[in-house]
Amino acid sequence: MKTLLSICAAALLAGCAGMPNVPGVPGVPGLPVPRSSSAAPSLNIQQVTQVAQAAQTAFKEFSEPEEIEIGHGIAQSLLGAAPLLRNDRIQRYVNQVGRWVASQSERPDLPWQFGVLDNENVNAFAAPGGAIFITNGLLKKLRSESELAGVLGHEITHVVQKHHLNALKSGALGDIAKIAGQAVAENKLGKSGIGQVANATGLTAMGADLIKEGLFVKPLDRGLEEEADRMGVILAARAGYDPYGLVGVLQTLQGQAADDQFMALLFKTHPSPTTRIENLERISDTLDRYQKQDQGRERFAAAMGIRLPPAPPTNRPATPAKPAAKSTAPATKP
Amino acid sequence: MSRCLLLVLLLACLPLGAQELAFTNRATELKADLDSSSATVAPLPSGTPLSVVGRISGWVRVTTNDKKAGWVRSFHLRFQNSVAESEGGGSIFGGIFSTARRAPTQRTATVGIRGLSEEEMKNAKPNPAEYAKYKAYASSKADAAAFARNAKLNAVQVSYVDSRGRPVSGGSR
Repeated sequence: MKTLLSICAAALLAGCAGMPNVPGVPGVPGLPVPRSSSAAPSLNIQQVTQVAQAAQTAFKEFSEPEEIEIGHGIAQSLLGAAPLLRNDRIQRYVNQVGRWVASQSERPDLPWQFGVLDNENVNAFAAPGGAIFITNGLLKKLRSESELAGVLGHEITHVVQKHHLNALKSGALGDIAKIAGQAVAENKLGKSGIGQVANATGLTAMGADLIKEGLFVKPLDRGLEEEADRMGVILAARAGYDPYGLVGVLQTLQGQAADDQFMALLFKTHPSPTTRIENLERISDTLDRYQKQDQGRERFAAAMGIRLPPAPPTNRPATPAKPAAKSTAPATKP
Repeated sequence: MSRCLLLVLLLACLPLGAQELAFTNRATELKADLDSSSATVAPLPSGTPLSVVGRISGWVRVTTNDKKAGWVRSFHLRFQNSVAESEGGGSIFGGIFSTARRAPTQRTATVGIRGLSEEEMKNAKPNPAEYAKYKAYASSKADAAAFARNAKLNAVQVSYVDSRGRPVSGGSR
């Protein structure tokens, strides 16, 4: 930062003294050129400084309330692109399962929210602060509550580990950070702009901008996706579920056509299902330890209003008898 | 079994979804039960095609081409797109599946996908009304705990593990 300012200062002095521009200027190397700088011969030092500071400020350590507001902004935009599935029972069920899994994490008190998007794409999204989404396209491919818990455990891990926030801060999501830096420079985040991440409205607006700039169409680092799988299955196990649920989902995805148009965005932003399954196989001893935990098939079928094929016959000793799930809704297709 | 009868049976099975197909991804064994220590029904060379009957946890119940039934470790299987497989293996499946699955599509996130394509996200406008509905569905920690109690789901202490399965302490980096 200091080096940058001194370069700018040198340029300014050079300009004032009527000497030729410092080599490499205008446009300090490595810095986005401020929008309003045009063909003006002298460098607008103030604008350069603003953008430089803004880019740094934009992704300082966000406080938890700030993280939550950004996540709400992202959610509002995502819901602008795809509305919620119109089914109260399913929405409430996904929230119960999701919140139960999230309660097993190190951030159990975030305002976790889960939504099913009415969209045929197969995908799920996690916004900072705990705003999670799963598409109906993906939900329809699941066969048990433990599979749902696996998917949600993966998304919850993205939030617990602040994967998207950290990626934005480090510039791993590239252009997006620059754009957000500009948002600060344009005073979207409070009156004076520089060094101020002021009000909730501004943060929400920034979240909305992040969607428009393609937050969920860019892949995270593969290691982070693997971490989300590896920690997600543990969260499912902690919640009392069979942790193989996520493996089952990945194998379903593996069985889809590689050029299936509804899988395109998922495949673009994640490692292949085969790779993900191989990585989970490395922790199979851990998964095996909890494999007799609940799958929640009947509850899942009742909540979804579908008939699932019965579990295949086995000689395995029956799990402790559970009372039949009280379902006021008949098991008919929605 | 006549081809007609087979076709009728296939059509009858359709509402439950297409027959899942899988291949062994290594030399492994068809087991009598979902337990490595159970009896071996048959050895399965790598690349053996199998019909999937169902799954329980880390095991998949399958039948072989010569009608043997048993269980295989799910990690020992690679699931195959059934359309691609059937086009290679036999024509009876062709034409039954919807054209949406058979038509080759470009591998792009922008072609004709409503709502969540790259293009549509870039043009997304915040929807506060929809957001309010989303927020209203949220479950409190207590609600979720009550759900779990009713479902007889018991919380368990489990350590996170690293990529090799060694326990690590958890939480945010």
